[in-house]
Amino acid sequence: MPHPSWDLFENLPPGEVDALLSLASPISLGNGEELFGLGDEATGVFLVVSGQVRLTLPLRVGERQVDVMVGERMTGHMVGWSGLIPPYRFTVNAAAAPDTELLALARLSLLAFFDEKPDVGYALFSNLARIMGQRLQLFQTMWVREMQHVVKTKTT
Amino acid sequence: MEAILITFSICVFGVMATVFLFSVAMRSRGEEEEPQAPEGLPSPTGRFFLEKTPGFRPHGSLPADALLLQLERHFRLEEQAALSFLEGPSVESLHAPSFSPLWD
Repeated sequence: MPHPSWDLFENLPPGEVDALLSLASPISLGNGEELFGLGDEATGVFLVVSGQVRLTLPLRVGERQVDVMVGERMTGHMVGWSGLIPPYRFTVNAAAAPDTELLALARLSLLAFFDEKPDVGYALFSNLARIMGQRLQLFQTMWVREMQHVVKTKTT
Repeated sequence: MEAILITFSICVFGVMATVFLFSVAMRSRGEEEEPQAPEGLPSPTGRFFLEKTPGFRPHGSLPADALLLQLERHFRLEEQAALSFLEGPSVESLHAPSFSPLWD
């Protein structure tokens, strides 16, 4: 079955990707349906097959609490890195928008697979480090831009 | 006769002392009482606090839903600006304007 080019599987041989995909379980979410919530236990990671996943964090606006978007994951993206990194708790809310198809990869299944094939585990965790590094750089840059704006506001 | 005069003098002195103490007490009580606003006028508010009035909205504020949309648009524009910086890092690209509506 053809599948997207997932960021988590970059540079992995096609045979190993197929072996990893054989461990996955499909998930279908309707528009707005929750994938996971802030603080939930993270038992695995997800791959976006089609659709989109919105990541949000709560913000108080007046008397209301609203969910503000802090990220979007499209087809080919991994969602839920907390499933592979201690303390295994999700740090954002994630919901589908619009209807979305995903694959779920359980941590225990992946780790058992990596015990058999450590080179695949090394490659996958190298990809995870690269993805997280890119996201860190992105948010670091956005944070500095916000700080620059605060400084400009306070000094003019 | 002397006893009567002594008794009379003590009574007069007692009455004068009572009057003096009573007048001092009344004056200090009057100083403690705050002036009252005339009936029908609004009571004064604190200097650093504004009373919340129903329907009051600070200048420039938006309904929560509209603000949420602006925040989402702001996030996307800032994300694009940050990605542009990461493609070609420089001081100029780090602080290049994103034209976000929240930065007007």
